[in-house]
Amino acid sequence: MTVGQFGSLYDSMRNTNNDHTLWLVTQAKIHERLTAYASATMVESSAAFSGLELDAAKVSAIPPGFDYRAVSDLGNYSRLGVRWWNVQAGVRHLIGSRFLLDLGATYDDYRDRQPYIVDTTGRSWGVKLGANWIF
Amino acid sequence: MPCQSIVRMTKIPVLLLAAALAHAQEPPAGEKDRQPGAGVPQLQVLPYGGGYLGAGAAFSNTTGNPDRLAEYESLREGTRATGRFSAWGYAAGTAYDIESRQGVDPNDRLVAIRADFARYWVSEFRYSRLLHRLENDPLTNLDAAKGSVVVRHDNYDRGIRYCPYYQDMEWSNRLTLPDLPQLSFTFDYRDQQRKGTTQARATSKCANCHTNSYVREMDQDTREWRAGANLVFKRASLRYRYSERDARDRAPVVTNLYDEAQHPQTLQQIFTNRVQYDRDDGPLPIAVVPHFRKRQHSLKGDVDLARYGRLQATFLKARSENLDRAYGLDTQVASGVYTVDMGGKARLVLRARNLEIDSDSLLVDVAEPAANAGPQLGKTYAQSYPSWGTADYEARSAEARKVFTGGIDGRIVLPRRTTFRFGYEYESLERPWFEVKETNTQRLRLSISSRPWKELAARAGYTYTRSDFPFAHVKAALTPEIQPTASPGSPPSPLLGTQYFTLYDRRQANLSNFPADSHRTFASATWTPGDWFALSAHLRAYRDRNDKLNYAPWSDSAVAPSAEAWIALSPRVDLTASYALAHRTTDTLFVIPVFDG
Repeated sequence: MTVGQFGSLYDSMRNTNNDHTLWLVTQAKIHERLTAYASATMVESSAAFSGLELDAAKVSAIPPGFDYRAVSDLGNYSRLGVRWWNVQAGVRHLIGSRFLLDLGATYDDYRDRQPYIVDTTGRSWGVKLGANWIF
Repeated sequence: MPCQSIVRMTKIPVLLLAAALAHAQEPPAGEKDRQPGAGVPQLQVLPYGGGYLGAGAAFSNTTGNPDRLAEYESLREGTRATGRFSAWGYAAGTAYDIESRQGVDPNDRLVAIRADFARYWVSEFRYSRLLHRLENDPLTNLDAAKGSVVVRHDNYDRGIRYCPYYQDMEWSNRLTLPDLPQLSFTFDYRDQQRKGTTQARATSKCANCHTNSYVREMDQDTREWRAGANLVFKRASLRYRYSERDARDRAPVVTNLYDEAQHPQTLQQIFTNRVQYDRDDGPLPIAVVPHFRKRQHSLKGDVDLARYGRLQATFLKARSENLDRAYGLDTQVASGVYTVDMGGKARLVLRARNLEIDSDSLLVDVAEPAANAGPQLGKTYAQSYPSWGTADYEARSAEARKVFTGGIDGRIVLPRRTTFRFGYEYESLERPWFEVKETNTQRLRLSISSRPWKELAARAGYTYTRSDFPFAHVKAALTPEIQPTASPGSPPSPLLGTQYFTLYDRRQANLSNFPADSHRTFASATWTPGDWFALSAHLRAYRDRNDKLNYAPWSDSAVAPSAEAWIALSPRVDLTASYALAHRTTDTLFVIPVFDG
């Protein structure tokens, strides 16, 4: 030590995490050779530390230049908040008895509401087309 | 219909094969002795076959960060080709099933082949590869200064997107002798690889806290082969397995040149006896993965005692070792299970298991440089502070332990399609090389499942666990006030005041994330009023708490309700909806030491 050592500050700290997941999917047989499907998934997650109250008066002194009450703001830095949407839809068509066509689309929206160090927000959409020969 | 039809078509050969195998298990009386390979059931099924060949294209567009959005997803910008192939069938005594797929990413692929040669040789091969997007930590939170005391960072991997791949190849075989069907042999080989690049970090201390990040190649290879024999009689069986696993990383070593150990203000090299290495030692390897090997023997026996029950016993012996340091663990497990039916309405299971893990000892011979300047010039840290003791120490693993587990489980069948289950377990755990020497745990389990009406099925359960002294880090935090005044010297010298080893020795708070009391419960119900609607609801909850800690309890609790509904809106349209909530809270002690220097 140089300017002194004055013990420790401590308190109980709580981490709270909530995850909500909602999922919907539907399938429709439009006619004997054509089916369609659609699905949507939403995930909403949040987490944070809370309850930390460090009282500098509980130790005999504080080293110059330190602000231990500021550590109580840890909850503000630790917050996580994410909302993620995934939507898919497509159709499948049987041609004759041997060929199957598959057309689908996907959309993802990942939103980082509390970015810290790295912002993980991203979006993606895509289309896929497939042809299958059944033997 | 088309995709479902493919799924159905894949099931057809499986069902045919299953039917053929079931039929083959009961050869006509008398035929067995006339055939070569007597005793091994013969497939008697007409040849069949099928499959599909698919080709396609996928276009995707991504904006922002794909690391979370598509952590394991096969996602590539622009238009990419995809393909898949599957074939199954039976001909000339051989049944086969082949599946392969290539995604839009070169590292998204699968090949699986299963072949059954008249049940004498069953061989399965599976190869898969998937990508894994990893973050590149910019280290920007490491940016602070107080006077000449600085926390800083340098990124030597700026702009790199880390995306290594994981590859798993497994080939397993079972061979049955034609003239001795009671005896069969197994031989399996598995090779798991992780290749690509990842982020490696190293931190210099004294004078600055200085963290560097580098691109580190990954060339990890875990190879495992297993061989065994099975002896199966009408009322008894015996199984032996030997396995050997070898894991290593052959990637080039990444090095870091650590900073000079010196006083941050005076730049005198008075701290060189407080670190094991600094700039004077030149570039040193970081992020090293040791060469690891595990060998294991296991023997399992099973005896059917007819109306007196069934007895199973297992013995396992293993050694796992860090070959770079000749440091390892020896494991022995012996266990037994006795099951008996009590009048058809009740069943009782008695279990016992003994586990012993022994740890090698390893002398950690610490590098002890002397101070290059200052009042401790020419002295090592131990010479400067004799009350500290020695730097070198003998390491043994906290994993070393003796564990005995005994328990009883029961099942009672009640009226109205209701089953009641109960269980009790006692565990005694001793750790020879850890400060929490002994932990005794008792566990009580109760559950009930019922289908009182055709439309309703429900089940619920509760488990209570109590441990007397759970695993903990004794005196892990919270140093009291020791030196409320400045250190001697002008200016005050960090060499003359209270040292870190004194702070560590005086810590008071025990910390743990293992519960002394645990309550876990679940409940689930499904209501099916007709063939057009089904509704299910579930609840899981737990509360783990350790109130044996001396400063603040630790706790972890969660509740997770969920529900799903399925409805057929018409014979051609159906809808499924579900919602799940997971709520979790964890409480623990937070401690921060109050000192400077």
